[in-house]
Parts: sequence; C-alpha cells; structure tokens
Amino acid sequence: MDRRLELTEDALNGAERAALAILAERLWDARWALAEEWSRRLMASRPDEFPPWLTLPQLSDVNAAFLAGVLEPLRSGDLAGLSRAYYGMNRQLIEFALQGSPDSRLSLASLYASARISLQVIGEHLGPEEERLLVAYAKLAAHLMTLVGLAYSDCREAALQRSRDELEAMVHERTAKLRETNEALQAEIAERAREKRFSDAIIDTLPGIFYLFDHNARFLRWNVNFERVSQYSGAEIAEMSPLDFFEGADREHVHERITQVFRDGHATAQADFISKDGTRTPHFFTGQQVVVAGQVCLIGTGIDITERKLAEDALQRRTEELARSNADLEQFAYVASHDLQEPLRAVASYTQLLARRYEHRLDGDARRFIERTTAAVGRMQALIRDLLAYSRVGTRGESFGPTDCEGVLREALENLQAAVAETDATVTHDRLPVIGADPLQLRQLLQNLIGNALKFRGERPPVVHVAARRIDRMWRFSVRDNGIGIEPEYAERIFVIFQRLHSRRTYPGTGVGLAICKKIVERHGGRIWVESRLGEGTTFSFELPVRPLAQRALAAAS
Amino acid sequence: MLPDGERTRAVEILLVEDNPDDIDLTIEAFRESSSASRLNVVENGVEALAYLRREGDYAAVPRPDLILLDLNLPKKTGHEVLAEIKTDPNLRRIPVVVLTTSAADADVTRSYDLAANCYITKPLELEAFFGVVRLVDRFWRDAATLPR
Repeated sequence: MDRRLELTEDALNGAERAALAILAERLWDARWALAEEWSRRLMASRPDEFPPWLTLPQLSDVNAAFLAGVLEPLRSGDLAGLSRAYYGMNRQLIEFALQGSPDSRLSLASLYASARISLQVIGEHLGPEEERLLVAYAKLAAHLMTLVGLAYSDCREAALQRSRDELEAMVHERTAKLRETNEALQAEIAERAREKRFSDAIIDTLPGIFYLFDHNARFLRWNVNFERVSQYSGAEIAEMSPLDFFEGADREHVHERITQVFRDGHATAQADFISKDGTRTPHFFTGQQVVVAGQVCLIGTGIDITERKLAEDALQRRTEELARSNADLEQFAYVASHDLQEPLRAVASYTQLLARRYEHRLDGDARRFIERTTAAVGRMQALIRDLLAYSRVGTRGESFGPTDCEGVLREALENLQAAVAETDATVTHDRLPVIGADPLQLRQLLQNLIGNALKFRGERPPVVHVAARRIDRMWRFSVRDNGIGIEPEYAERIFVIFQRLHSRRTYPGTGVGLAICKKIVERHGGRIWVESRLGEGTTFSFELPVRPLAQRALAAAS
Repeated sequence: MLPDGERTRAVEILLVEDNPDDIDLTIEAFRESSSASRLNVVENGVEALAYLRREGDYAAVPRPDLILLDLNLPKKTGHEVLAEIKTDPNLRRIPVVVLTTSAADADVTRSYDLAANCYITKPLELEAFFGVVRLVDRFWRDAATLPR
C-alpha cells in the first residue's frame, strides 16, 4: 500500500467509528444475503459490462468475500487495516476484470455504481430507525471509493502498458514470422515454377506424345504433341480416358498393357492412335509406373512408327516378291531340267540313230553335219545343266554348318582327279580351317576355281596352291595358279554369267562356272575377286565371314 | 540262247510313256535287241490301268509279262500308277521297271517304297540307251523267271 491516502483516525470521529462498529456487527450474519441482492441489482443495472461467462452465484461469492473483508476490520475499529484490505481487494478485482482485455468495459463509473447499489441494499436492510449508522457508513464509503479510484487508475495504467507491450511484441514477432514464411514460400514457388518450366520444355520437345495418368485413367499431364496429334484440346483431354484413343483389338491390347504397367512396373504396346477426325496413326507406346503426389501413376511416351511400318511393309512385300521370284526360278529349273532337255535329247538321239542306221550310205559331209549337230546339242545340254546349277545355288542351298575345309578340298580334288592326271598338275594347300558354311557349295566353289586353274593352263604343267588365313572377322581363301592369266580389264566381267574371254575352240565351256562361284560366295555373305598378270598366273580370292560354329541353322535368306 | 520249248510265246511288254520321241526310240531299241519281245504302248496312267484291267477297248489284250513305266505322265503320275498296280492283288506280281529321265533321289526312293522291281535312269547318249534297253530285255526275258 504505497498510496497517499490512508484511512486514519482523522477521517472519522469517535461516534462515527462506534456506529460503524455496531453496523458491522449487525451486518455480519446477513453478509451472504446482502452480497446476493447487491450482485443481482448490479448485473441488472449494467448488463453490458459483465462478461457472458460470469454467473450470478460467482459474482455473489466474490461480493460476499468483499463484504467480509470490509466488515471484519470495522468490527475491531482498525481503520488502517480496513483501507489496506479494501485497496488490495479492489486491485485484485480490477486486474481480474482487465485481464487479457485492455479495452474491457469495466469502467470506474461501474465501480461507483456498484458502491451506490451496495449502500442502497444495506440501507434497506437496516430500516429508517438506524439512519445514524447508515450516514456513518456512507461517509466511510466515500473514503473507500477514493481508494477504488486509485486502485483502478493504477491497474488501468499498468494493464494498458502491459497490453501495449505485449501487443507490440506480438506484432513484431508475427511480422518477422510472416516475412520468414513468405520468403520461403516465394522461394519454393519460384523453384516449382523453374522445375515446371524445365520439365515442360523437356516434354514439349519430345519427338512423340507424352502422357501421365493415374490409376483411375485420369490424365494429369500431357505435352503439346499430344494435343496436336490427337486434335483434342487440353480441356477435352482432361475429361478423357487413355482408352478413348483406341478401337477394337488395339483397345484390348492397350488396356492389357496398362494393367501390366500397374502390376509389373512397365510395359510397351504397339497400336493405332486415333485422332479426333478419325485418323489412325501407328504408334509405339511405353509405360512406366511412377508415384506422383502419393498416388501410383503411369508415365510414358508414344512414337509415331508410320515410317517404320511402311518400311516393314515394303520389306515384307519385297521378301514376298523375292520368295515368288525364287519359286519362279525353281519352276524354271524344273522346266529346264525336264521339258527343255527332252526335245534336245530327241534331237541328239535321232541324229545318232540316223548315223547308226545309214552310216554306209552317208558321205563325208553328211557325217560331219551330223557330228556338228550332236556337238551343238551337247553344248546346249551343258548350258542347261550349268544354268540349272546356277539357279539352284540360291534355291537348293543347305544350311550353314561346321565345315572342314580340308575334307571339302579333298572331295573337290577327287572329282578333278582325271583333269589333274591329264595335265600333270601339282596342287598344294595350307592347313585349312573348319568354318561355318554349306559344305556342298564350298566343295563346288573350290572345285570350280581349281578346275579353272587346270583348264586355263599355259605351256608348263599347272601348279596350284590353295591358301587360307583369318583376317579379323573373315576367312580369306585364295587359289593361285601359274596359268595364262587374265587381262585386268576383264577382272569384273569374268564373274558375269555366260561371259567368256576365249573362243570355244581353245577353251570349251559355258561361262557359268565363275558366276556360280560368285553366287555361292555371296550367299555366304562374302565377296570374290581376281588378281592376275597376263601370262604369269592368276589368284582367285574369296572371303567368308567367321560364323559361330554351334549355330547350325544360320541359313542365308533363300 | 533260249533253250527250245522253254517259252512258247513272245514276252509281252507294256510301255507306259507319253513322249512320242521316246516311244519310237524305245521301239527301235527293242527292235535292235530281239524279235522275241512284243511292245505294247499306252500314253498315260489312266490308259495303263485300263489296259492292265482289260477295260473298254482293252478287253482282249494279253496280260503283260513286264511293265516299263515312265514317271512324268499326264492324268495319273507314274508313282500313282505304280501304287495302284502294287496294291492290286491281280496285278502286283507283274514286274515294274521304272524308266525315266529323272535321277532325283526322291523319285528313286519313292519308287522302291512303292515296290518297283527296278529303277533305271534313261541315259542321254543313244548308244548307252540302246545298251540299257538290251540289258533290260535280256534280263527279264532270259535270266529272270516270271510268274505265270
């Protein structure tokens, strides 16, 4: 109690102090009833000034305690004690009323009103005959109200200051926090925008269409190509399902593959993508399971494979044409071997029969003409036979299996035995490898080349060497001779079918042998060439690709 | 060469061949070989079976002792004719010599599978062909015992 006013002995005279002691004694027992009546009238007179949560019994309890605090020191005549208690109690009350609410409606006026009402209630309780006691009490009350005013202004000022400080601190804190949050938010928004611009740039520059849709087949994202190819607007796509872009068997297929992505993680599909105007474009689609914002989605791209399809179709057509042309060739081979041979055989037979039956009646010219006819038929038969062999290189080839070139060369030399003996030839060879090839054709190849070496021999007995060595992924074979040689300008032409460099009289033949060699080498995926010096000899070389020997069924397309 | 009384009639040969050049050449070859064989000719597979079963115009023809069968025939192929002959209880004992220009393994194998008695590829040379015909004629006429 640091206030200037203290209620002292001087404030009241002795008679008044005695009267107040009697009053206090009288009111002590009635303090509960007084407090209740006082509270009721107070709430009724200033209903706006009480918080809604404050009930009448609560206010009555507070006022009863207040009365007790006043009456106790009055009974004992301790005025200083009374003023201290009164000041303290009021301070508590006012602080309570102002708590957390600096602009509380509790005003000094309402406190004075409260004091007036308490005087009225007490007066009614005492009745008119004890006027003297009441006047003494009113005088006391006036003093007490001064204390209330002091307490009120103390509290009010402190509360205001406190509230102002609190508010200021709060505003400060809030502002700082808000600024912090705002900065983080701005940074995140900027980052998100950058990321989106980047991913948009990626998906919009993809060559194909891009899509992202969730488990309920709702599109979450797509690129500009998607809108361009489908011809639907973004708003339309947002309302569509991925299956809306497919029809018939394709729709089933795509549905199956989408299910697979959600089950296994990824899948691909090939189907016609149908645009708004009904255009069908063959596409290759990919799908990958991803989790976006907590839900499982499918992300993927589709690539227009029209070109590839066209190329495939063209290839398919060409393959079919080739197969047809091979079948035609096969048919030709059959015709050549039977229908073409038969009349020839008849010409030969009847010419010979003529010679046989009429030998003694024919003169020299007639016999010579018959010989010429027979020889011509023989050449025709040889041509047909060789042509047949040539056509069969492609159509009758065996698959490529492990082929021992030593054995193959041995067979070829056995077939050439007569020619080797007749020409007194020497044939030598390197150690030859085992390669993946068609053994029958390889035998024919070596036989034709060595046969050529023996046939186009010079004055000396032929010396032939067969060599083989591996160069990277190829086996290079060569057949070198010491024969008449070939002029370089004919190096290419000799491999063309029916091309001959010599007259039939000096070197008989059909001009098919080397064409067959070329065809065999090419069927094996290799190449053949010749190097020669006129009069010194010739070297035929061919290269065959190295094949894995285990792979037997590697037949060339035939 | 033939013991007297061993055979009382000429050997009847049925030639099944569609090529007139080959027919004439075969006739010439048999003519040079002997006069003891009689060559009858039909030009397709259907005719061949009608002949063997003595149907229609062939009611009075003799039963052949030997059949020379070409494979490349119109209407019914030589293989089909061969199969019918060898599954017919009345005909299957008659020896069938396949005489054809084909040297294909498939034709040879199929013919023997169908119970051909012999497979001969016609030589291209006249002399060789005449030689083969002489061999066939001699073998089946003189060396082999034929069913009655």
